[in-house]
Amino acid sequence: MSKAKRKSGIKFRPDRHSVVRIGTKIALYVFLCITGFVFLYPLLKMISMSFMTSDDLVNPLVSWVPYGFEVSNFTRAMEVLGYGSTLVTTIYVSVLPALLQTLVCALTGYGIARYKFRGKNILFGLILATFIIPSQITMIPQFLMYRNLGILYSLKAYLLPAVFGQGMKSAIFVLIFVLFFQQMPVSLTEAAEIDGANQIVIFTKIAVPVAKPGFLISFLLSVVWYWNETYLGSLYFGANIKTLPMKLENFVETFNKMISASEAGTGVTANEAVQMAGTFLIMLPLLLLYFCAQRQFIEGIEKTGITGE
Amino acid sequence: MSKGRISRSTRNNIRGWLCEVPWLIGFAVFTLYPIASTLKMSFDSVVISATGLVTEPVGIDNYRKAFLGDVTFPKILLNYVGEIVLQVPIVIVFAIAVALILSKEIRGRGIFRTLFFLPVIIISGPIIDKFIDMGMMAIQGADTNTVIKSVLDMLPETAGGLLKTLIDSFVMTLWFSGVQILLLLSALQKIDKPMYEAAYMDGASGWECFWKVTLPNLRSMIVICIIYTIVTISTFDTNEVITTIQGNMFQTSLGLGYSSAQAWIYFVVLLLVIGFFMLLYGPRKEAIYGNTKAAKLELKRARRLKKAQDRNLKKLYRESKRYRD
Repeated sequence: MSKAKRKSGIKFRPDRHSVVRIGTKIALYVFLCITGFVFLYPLLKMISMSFMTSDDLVNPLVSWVPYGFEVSNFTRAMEVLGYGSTLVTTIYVSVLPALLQTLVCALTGYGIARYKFRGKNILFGLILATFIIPSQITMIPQFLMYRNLGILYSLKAYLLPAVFGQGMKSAIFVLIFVLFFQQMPVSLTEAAEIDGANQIVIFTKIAVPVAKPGFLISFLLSVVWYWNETYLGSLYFGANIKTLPMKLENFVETFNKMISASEAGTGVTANEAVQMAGTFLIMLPLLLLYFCAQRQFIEGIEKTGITGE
Repeated sequence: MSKGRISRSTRNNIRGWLCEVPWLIGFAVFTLYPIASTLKMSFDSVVISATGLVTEPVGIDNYRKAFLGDVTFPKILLNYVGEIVLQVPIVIVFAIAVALILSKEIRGRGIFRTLFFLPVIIISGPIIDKFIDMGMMAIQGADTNTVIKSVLDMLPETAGGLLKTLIDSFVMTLWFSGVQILLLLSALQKIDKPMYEAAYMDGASGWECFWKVTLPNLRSMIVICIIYTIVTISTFDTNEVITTIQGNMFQTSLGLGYSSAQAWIYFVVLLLVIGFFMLLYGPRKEAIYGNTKAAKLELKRARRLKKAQDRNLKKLYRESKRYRD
């Protein structure tokens, strides 16, 4: 009898453990919200600043919401960046190498995941080891090589290494593909072989569908990384090809040149608001891409993490 | 059927290597050759002229110049090492903390995962530059905080400068942790639940569980994350060392030879940094079983046993051979 009483007593009394549990939960939420805000802070500030007039920028009373919404910041920034045509160039520069890189890394990864061959482990180790080689150590001879081949200052300087699996961070993509192709059941390929399917059919009809999320995450990450690359881009393309992030680098100079030519003496300067509007515009396509495909991004990486290390 | 005559393993050998052909060519042409070429050039004086490259061997002059002649380069390099030694633990600890929280049943997990991964998508040199210029990446209020100010004043110049850059780009440091959070999160999901149950049964608290179960299980993933962090920070566009190397490429007074030497120095330093962190927290084979004394003894005994068995087998083999002869 006393046992039953105690049991029911526990039910009604808010015991120490549940209080602690709720407390930690609240603490965790607070931590997450604060760090989340810290993460987003530069972006939020950028958005708010991009709408400010020059008066709002210096007004100490305005910290987040500007008094007047200055949309002309955006039109000016668009003009300076040459937004339409530069956007097309940027898409071109990031999608094409990404596509080639994904395909070649898929083939490389497939070979390692599916076939047993001599020196396979050494080769795989070598591929992974290339990840830590900084591009600084290869860029000078590459630069000279492209100059001799006559492909410097054109997109081919990106495409050529990508075709041979030496594109940006390709070691990661090979790793992703190895992990995804390893999930392919051996019995399936054996059955297909017995039914007379050749290796190419097995690759396209069995392996590719199995590794579809792998293709997706590789392509997306590859696009994003090529999009954001400016260091090698400015070296290999010179002034010939300018992507959006590259144009941001000398945004202020371009702005001053353009304004002094057209609206001299109107007091328009490349203030922070215009610069932030430009930054926002450059980020916008990527943000859109992320919000459309965020599930693919996150699940792709998580699956990579789960299947192997 | 000619196909039948080749054994399966030979066929697999051929097919496997065929798949690797593009990568192997690329590796030889775009990685191996350039690395060797950079090494060779680092001992030359190379200048681009109208007629082509003018190369002249100068021995180790380039390296001597980098360390003794150049005023800024050793300083930049030292700054880089200091920064990365501070940044990597911040990124890793932060990533582990966030991953641990997100692995719990919490409402809005998806939103937070999306949020923490967002920087990976938008992080690029010029954008970060703009943000740092405008002070958006700094710990807010740090520049007016008297405590931080007095600490900065107290420290010697180099250490103070390091701390200042760390504060000014603190959010950027956190922004580097997007991929790591997701990787650690998936590694956390892989840990066997019974292990925790057994630990609780033995009276371990949550805190003890973290140190004795979670962390050893995460070890290999943490090692991967450390390497990933070091490499991404080191090759990021705004890194002062790599911008200096690129800038020197086109200075006729210094030339390609000098920047090659700098690139090699940088590579070696990068490897040393990775080595340093691996010494600090490297992969360990028996990590999962804990490094208790009993486990180590057990392992030793097992190894000794195996050795004895091998010896016996060899002995048997030798004896049988003698009989056959």
